Amino acid sequence: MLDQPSHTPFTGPLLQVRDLTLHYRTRQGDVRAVDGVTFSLGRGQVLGLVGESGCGKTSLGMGLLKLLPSNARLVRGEIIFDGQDLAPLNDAQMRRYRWRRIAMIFQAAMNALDPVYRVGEQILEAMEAHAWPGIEDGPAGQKRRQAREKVKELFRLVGLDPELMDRYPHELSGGMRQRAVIAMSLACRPDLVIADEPTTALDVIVQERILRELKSIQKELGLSLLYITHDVAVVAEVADQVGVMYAGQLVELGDTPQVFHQPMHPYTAGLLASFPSIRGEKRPLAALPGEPPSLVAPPSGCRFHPRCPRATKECRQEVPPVVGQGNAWAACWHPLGAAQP
Amino acid sequence: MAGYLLRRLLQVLVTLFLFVTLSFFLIQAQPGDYSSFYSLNPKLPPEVQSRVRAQFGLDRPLGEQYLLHLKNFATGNFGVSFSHYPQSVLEVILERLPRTAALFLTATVVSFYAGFFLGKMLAWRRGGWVEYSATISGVALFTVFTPWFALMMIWLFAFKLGWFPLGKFLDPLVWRNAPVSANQVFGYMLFTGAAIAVILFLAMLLLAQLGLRRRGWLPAAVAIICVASAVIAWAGSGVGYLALDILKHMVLPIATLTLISFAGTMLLTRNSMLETLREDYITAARAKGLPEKVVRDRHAARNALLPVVTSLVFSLAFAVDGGVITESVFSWPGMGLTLLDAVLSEDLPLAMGALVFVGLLALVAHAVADVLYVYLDPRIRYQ
Ligand SMILES: Nc1ncnc2c1ncn2[C@@H]1O[C@H](COP(=O)(O)OP(=O)(O)OP(=O)(O)O)[C@@H](O)[C@H]1O
Ligand code: SF4
Ligand SMILES: [Mg+2]
Repeated sequence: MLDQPSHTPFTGPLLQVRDLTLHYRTRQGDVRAVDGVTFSLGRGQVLGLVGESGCGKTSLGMGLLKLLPSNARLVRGEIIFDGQDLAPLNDAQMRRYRWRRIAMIFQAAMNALDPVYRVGEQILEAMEAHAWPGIEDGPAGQKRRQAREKVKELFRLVGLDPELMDRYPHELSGGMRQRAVIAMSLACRPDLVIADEPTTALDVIVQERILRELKSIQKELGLSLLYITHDVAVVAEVADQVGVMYAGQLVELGDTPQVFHQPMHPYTAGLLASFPSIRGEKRPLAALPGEPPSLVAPPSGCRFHPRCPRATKECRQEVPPVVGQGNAWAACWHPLGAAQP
Repeated sequence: MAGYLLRRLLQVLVTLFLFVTLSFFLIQAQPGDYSSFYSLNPKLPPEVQSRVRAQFGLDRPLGEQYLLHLKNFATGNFGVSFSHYPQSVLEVILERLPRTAALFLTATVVSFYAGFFLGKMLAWRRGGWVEYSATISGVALFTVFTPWFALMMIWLFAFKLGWFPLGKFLDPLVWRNAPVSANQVFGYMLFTGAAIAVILFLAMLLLAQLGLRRRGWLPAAVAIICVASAVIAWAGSGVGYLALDILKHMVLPIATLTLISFAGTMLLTRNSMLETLREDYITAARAKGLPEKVVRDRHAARNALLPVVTSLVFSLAFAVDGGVITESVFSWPGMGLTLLDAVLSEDLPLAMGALVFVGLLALVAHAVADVLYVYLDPRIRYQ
């Protein structure tokens, strides 16, 4: 089977993100897609990141790899990965982390494969760019042959016929492509995989199966996984911890059972209520009235206040305090359940 | 793939048949009696006239004439040229076709390569005065009136600067005591060019097989060695000065054709590349930690190439136009000029033959570009 990811002497959490702030420059003004996000992710842990469409999940995920469009700007913050802050690194330095240490499964994973090359070739290409990680040293041809065997192994791991590695992307079905992309993300034996809605484009049954496989691979390889989705049911299934994002900010963070059974933030409660499948009750969807706010000129005070049933005057004027501590907190003036601050 | 090639070949043959048929009836439909015009042409001796009459069935009904026309075409018999008598139409064409092919092929290859390279770079490094000025001059070249542009080239480089001759195929003064004919020399030149191309191609294949193609200087070294040995061989042959004379005459028409078609390729590549750069697989390639050059060339440019080749297929018809104009402005005695002269001097057999061959040339180029596309895009490769 595949080897465990390499361990280094650094013993803190694998990933610590502090006050990460990311803006897009547009004609309308700066879009504050990620604003002061702080969290950490331990080795072998799964952190689920949920939030409505447009709340900045993808921006955050891409920001961690510093793969941003030209109009984006990393305003401030630290991305401490395995003891090293990635924020000040340039593109050439980042390249050593990309895929080798932090891999990604994209939101539109179906389109993450280049149509003109064979699938296996695109995986080998990544391994070659990182000096064939996990392959014994030797002549180029021999390393390539070994790497091909490795890719076949990965294909079996994700439930694909190894023969498919010599097919072109258009010859595979959506589910197969998705699995191939997952195999590709594992090829350089990363420590962290960022999965950005990896299954949304697939039908529910395939989605479910791939999700379960991803989870078991994560366990087997001891990977850390940052799982981004808008579907709280998915998070409940895969994540050890949940982060809830609203309008570019992290508003609640905690252990999955905790957050799901006793949400502190009213937005989390609303989000859970809008997904009836969690508690098995049949309730109408859209328990969250209103629209997500503009990220160019977000509401003052608590950004959720225009939609919050508990909003008061101080919510509208003052930035809410953080209640709770460590890896279980919410940013709210009037959190649910907990004692009033 | 073999099935596709076969189908494509059949298509070319059918198109050619339609083209030949159309040209026959178009000429029949012209005012004046074609047959009497042909057989009573005063430039032809009576015995040739009677032979022509029999061969083309000019005294027969139209249907029979048409069948004979097809048969003559299939056997390469286009009759005799009025204006070049006693040369046959086929002889005139076979002498001139290579000149046009050389002009076209060189201009197409150079303009495509240069246009693609520049367009790629423009899209990759956006902004700044380089992109701005290249885009402006690209649009200017793309929209320029071809004859005017060709004349400006002559005015500047031949008349003002005197770097190149004003036009024509060769300089009679240079060739006065030449030991060989111009067509022979030109034939050898074409052979040299083709040999270099083939050797380079094989060398690339070999380098790719050995996994050495990523070393940028190797292909360049092979190219330099090829060209250098060709130059040395010509210099030692004793007729190198004649080849040089023809070469000098080729520079301006090729440069003109190249510049005109290069701009379109450049602008199109730039747009296509900008589009490709937004694709998810480009982000994925970056996320994989591939070097920027690999992302640019292996992924972005490789995909951006597809629409550019498609448009090349369509723009070939336009290139024929530009070719006729360029040849006539530079008095380059190729197919375009032959066609034009034949029409002006009412040399109908030659005009017809030239027309058919120009059409054939365009068809073949079209088919080649088409097959190239199928090769480049795996999504349609095996359908
Ligand atoms: N290149 C860009 N330029 C300007 N604004 C952008 C850009 N990319 C994203 N945005 C904006 O940033 C905000 C966050 O986008 P992001 O894609 O990160 O959201 P998301 O949570 O991933 O949404 P979804 O669930 O739809 O994928 C959105 O309002 C979006 O419109
Ligand atoms: S701070 Fe106020 S508005 Fe914001 S979520 Fe809490 S109660 Fe609602
Ligand atoms: Mg997203």
